[in-house]
Amino acid sequence: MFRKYLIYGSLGTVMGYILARMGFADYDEINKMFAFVDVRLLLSFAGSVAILMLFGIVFRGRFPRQNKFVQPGTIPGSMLFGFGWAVTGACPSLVFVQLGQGKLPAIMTLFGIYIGVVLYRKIHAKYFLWDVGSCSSS
Amino acid sequence: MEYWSWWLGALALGLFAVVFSLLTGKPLGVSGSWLSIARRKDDALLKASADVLDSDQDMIKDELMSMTMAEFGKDVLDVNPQRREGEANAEVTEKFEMKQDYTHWTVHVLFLVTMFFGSYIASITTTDFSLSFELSTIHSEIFENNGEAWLALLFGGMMVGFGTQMAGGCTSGHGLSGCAQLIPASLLSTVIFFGCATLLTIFMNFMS
Repeated sequence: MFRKYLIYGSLGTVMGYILARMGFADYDEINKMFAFVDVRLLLSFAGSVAILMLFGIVFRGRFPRQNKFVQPGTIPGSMLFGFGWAVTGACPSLVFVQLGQGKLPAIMTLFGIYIGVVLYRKIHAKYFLWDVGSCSSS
Repeated sequence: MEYWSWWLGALALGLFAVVFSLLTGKPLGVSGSWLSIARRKDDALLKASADVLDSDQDMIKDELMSMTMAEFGKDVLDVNPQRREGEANAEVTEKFEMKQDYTHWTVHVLFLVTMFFGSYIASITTTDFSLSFELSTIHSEIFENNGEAWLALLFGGMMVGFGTQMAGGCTSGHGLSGCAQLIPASLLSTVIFFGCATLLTIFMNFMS
């Protein structure tokens, strides 16, 4: 169990450092990316997908496969996330990076994300019920 | 802070995702960590089910078989799977092993909180770190007063939290890991959330 804490703790620190140095949590940079004023972040993101894909091809079978499939929530959920990302400049990981850079308003985003996750969980359990195939969380 | 060039950022994030997968045995995905924290009260149940699946596979198979026979009768055993078109062939199907990996919710909390420290380290080592009541210059231009901006962040955050859970992934899960594996759901989701974010950004910039 201690090993897991050590691994995830180290990975979280490195991920936070990388995202901060990339400028992925800077609202101005995000805004410029979405407005196509500056495509640096877009190229960074596309490049990282390409690198991961390359490793996946070279070391086929050694990488765990994502358990994702199109389900009724894929389109509306992605739309909501996109709108939220444009307003906050944050995704579920970037909010912590914003806070680490001293951006106090990101506290509101943090609360908002938590409320949104809990709210969805309650609504899903009562009305939706389908399998969303969320990221490996167990 | 002076940001990395696009290729350095791509190299760092891409290699990080590779190392993450190799070390944890899972593809990179952050919205799942949020889900684990939100359902922490069910953690004991998840751990118990993971332990059961991990401990006695034969017992589970026996239980499942007895329940199947109780529901459908003993005739179910006589069905030749090779005669049933479109279903798995018993001779070529790989051995299925029920296994559920379990990670305690506090591990996910640590993963998220350490991102804060990683970012903090980047800030203090490259710039003079200072606390700011504004998210950014452009954000302040779009939302003219602080109250409006903070309220927008709260509702925007809710959309992010609700949306990522509903879509079953976020930038890392769908955008990075899923797209790298060319998973249709991830490609669709990424196009939609990038598209919607682009449309709203252009609209907000135009209005401000």
